[in-house]
Amino acid sequence: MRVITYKEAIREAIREKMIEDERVFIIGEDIGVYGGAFGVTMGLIDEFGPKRVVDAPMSEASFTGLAIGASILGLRPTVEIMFADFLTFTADQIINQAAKLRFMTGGQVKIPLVVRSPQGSGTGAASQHSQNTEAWFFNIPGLKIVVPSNPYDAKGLLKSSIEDNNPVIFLEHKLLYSLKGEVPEEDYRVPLSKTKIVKEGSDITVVSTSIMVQRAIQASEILEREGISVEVIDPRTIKPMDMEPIIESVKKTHRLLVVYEGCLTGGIGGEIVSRIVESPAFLYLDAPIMRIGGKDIPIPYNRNLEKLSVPQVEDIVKKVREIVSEDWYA
Amino acid sequence: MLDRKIKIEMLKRMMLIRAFEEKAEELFMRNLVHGTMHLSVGEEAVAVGSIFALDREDYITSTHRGHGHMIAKGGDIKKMFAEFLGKDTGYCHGRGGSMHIADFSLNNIGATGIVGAGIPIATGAAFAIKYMRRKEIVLCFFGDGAANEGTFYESLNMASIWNLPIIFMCENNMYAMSSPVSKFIPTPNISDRAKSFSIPGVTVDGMDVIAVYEVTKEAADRARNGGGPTLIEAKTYRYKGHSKSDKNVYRTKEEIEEWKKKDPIVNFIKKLKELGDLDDKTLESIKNDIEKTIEEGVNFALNSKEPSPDTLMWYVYANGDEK
Amino acid sequence: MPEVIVMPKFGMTMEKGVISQWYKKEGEKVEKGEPVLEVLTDKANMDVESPKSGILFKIFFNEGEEVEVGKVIAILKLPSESDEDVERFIEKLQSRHVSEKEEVKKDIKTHILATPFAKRLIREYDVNLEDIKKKGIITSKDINIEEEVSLSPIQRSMAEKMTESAKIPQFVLYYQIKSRFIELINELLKEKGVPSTITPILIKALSIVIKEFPIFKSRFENGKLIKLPHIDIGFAVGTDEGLFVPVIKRVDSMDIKEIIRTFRSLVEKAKNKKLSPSDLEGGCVTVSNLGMYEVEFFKPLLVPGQVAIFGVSRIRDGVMNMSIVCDHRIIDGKKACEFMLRFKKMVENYSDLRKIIL
Repeated sequence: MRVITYKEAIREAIREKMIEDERVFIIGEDIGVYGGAFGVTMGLIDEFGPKRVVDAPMSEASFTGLAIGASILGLRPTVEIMFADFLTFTADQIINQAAKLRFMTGGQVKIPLVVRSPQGSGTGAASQHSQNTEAWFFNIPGLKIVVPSNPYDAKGLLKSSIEDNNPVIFLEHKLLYSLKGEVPEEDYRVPLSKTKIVKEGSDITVVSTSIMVQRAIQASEILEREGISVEVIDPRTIKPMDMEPIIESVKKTHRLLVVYEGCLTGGIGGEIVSRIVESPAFLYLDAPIMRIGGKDIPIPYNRNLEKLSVPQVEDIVKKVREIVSEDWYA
Repeated sequence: MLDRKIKIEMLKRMMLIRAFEEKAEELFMRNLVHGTMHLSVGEEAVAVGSIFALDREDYITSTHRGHGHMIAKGGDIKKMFAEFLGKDTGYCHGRGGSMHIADFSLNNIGATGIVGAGIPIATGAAFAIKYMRRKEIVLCFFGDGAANEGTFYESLNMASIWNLPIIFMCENNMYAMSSPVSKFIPTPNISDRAKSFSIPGVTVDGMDVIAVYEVTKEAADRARNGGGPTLIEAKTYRYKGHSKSDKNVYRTKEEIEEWKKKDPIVNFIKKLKELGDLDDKTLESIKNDIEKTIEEGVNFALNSKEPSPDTLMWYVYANGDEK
Repeated sequence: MPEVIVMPKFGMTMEKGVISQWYKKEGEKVEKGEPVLEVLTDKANMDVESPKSGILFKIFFNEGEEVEVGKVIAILKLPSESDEDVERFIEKLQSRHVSEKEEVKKDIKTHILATPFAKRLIREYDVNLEDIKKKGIITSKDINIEEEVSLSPIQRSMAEKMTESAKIPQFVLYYQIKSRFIELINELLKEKGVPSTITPILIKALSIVIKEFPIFKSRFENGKLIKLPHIDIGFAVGTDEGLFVPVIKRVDSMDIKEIIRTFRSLVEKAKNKKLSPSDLEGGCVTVSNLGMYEVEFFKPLLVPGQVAIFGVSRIRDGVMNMSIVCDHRIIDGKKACEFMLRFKKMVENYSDLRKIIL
């Protein structure tokens, strides 16, 4: 099977959807000739023209609102927000309009909007350009939040997101753009709200999102050599989240570690842990459920401090060892 | 010159709006309405004058003070009252209430309660119309308060650079809640701002339904013929407070009385009578029809069922739980 | 009966009290209602009154000591009692105290920390907590469970049958058979519209050869050789529940379609645990096909009572590996070889085989 990058996979998804469906258009800053700040939309304007690849002025709130208005009339826009940190500008349109219009109008309208944006740290972009924003809209009913961790999922999930009739926040990761992976030539989909068991294991379940999935996989390879068998799970869609495979997994392994990049406090990990505790899986726990998340600090500029502020492979390895060896309250 | 029939229809519609608003207020005082409401009594000419200049398929976006817009667009009085009373038979199945009325079959794509948030959405609708090469235009209502929101600026800018088929209708009723325009708008007219976006800016007497009609018609023709957006500022006034919690401490009784002298309905009746377009008999029958419509609407709402608690989780996601 | 003074409960939440002062000494006279001692609770200092008139005979706790609510802190000797009475009573009390203490100790022992999963195992397997020697939180690693799993009826039956089978003197011969079975199956499908697998075809073919070698058309049970009126052939079916060997009765009077139909329905029944005892009894030979598992050669075990069993292994490039296992008490090597050569000749001649099957 051919191998392409995460970024290319996303571009392909957009391109193929634009070919297939005339109603699909993309709008964002510098996505036209410039090709997007991260080059995701490179070449698309040559193929589809400025009517469908719309360079917008620096008016995130309003061009997101514009996309909402267009979707009400039946188009299927995908908005690119240059950095997930800038989602703050779009907050009213996403939270008070897109997420709620269907509900407030008693189901009269649907908002098939996709807002895609790269999140995450590791590029030295510092506090205002490095946040992991999974938790930001996590609490808002009416939205879907999709977080792909690899090229195959990125393409399949983006297509599904564009086809979904609800507003979807599609969070890409800067460090994943260059990640290579197998992606079939044929048309395929990855359904939303379907959790994936990335790697089977029997000693502990590790649930992770975005770049942490890659780190969890690497950690599991190290731990395998020590005789610890790790089951790595990637929810892929965190809202609405498919908990069943996670519950079954915890029943099997009796231990759970949730790993996420966003700040520990108020991050998505707390929700996953709570749902497991409320589920029958609780009675199968042989160790307290643990989380590792980003430190509760803004992302620092210094390279080393930046690394220390979010979970790395060693952190995952260390934590799993602690949990399995019952060294819980060190 | 407008056809007599249309003028009578305009009068009827303005009177219907007022009757609706007054009845809505009455229901509120009888403690039948949960929450609050934002009445547009005094502003009827803006809604009717502008919407009557549109084609039936044209789109409008509305605001928290949107009952008038909805009725001018042809909204169903029964469904409106039912929505106010939170009934399942209301426009939004009781989920939205007064502030979030919408009727997509009439191309009223929604009233939003966030000041200024509807402007980008309206701009998006116009964008889609142009994208799909359709013939409709969009009329976007907002108030003097919204003219200070970032989204106003951003949307007019985009509408201009992309030459979108949209009319931005600012209902300047002099107050954003308690904030007077004199304090928060540095220029005499909000329509002056149009210059910054290189689009036409028009000021009109919002108490004169024909005047509003005429400027809107001109803007509609411009939009439909690829001439792009227009900013219209209709100077008007609301007799009632911003919402039901408003004690009107920020303005004087005298001011209210002064503006009432310019009442759009009273003056239009006078004008029509002068032109021989209206006689007392017709006026009487109009009043009776309206009374009947209002009564039917209220009874329908009062006798309608509440939404069932089983449907609590409905309407959140499309392809979700509702059947 | 001597009267006791207990630590009183002065408030809803009071659990313990401290004796701050004894007003009376051991041996002193007390009157009913007279304050005997002062107790400190977390809220106030309270007087404890004597319940009866008598002698304050024995004090169990001193000033400054903290005592749980309800515990006996002193004994009164009533006028009607002797010293011995009271001593005896005290003895009894103290022995009760001791056992109370032991019970409390036991309580503390059972009040251990364990993870939810460990608790579940402890409950389910009725684990004796005394056997768990661990300080700190108990996890499943600390619990040794040896679970005796009883055999299901099917497992028991298999265990019995195989044990019996092992007692029978058996020999095995391995053959390689060149045959165009796949072609035949396709033709069968085209001609008769019936899809089939290898096993029904083998069963039919075997039934023809068995007719020529009547010794194979028999059973050997309890020292008796029984000639069968019909050819009943069994076949092995592996299911999640276990191994079943249903028997197709009267194969000699069935055409290939009927054999396939009966075969299929028995497989279905086996999978749905619906085989009846009569489905499973009898038969002179059995076919066991492990070809789909890529087994090269294998030696199946005789089904007790039957005289032979055939093991079918993988077919590769038109060559099928087949073994025959016979009950050496009834069938000798020469007979078995002759049988197999006949079978081989018939099956390897495609037109002959065709005639038989189609």
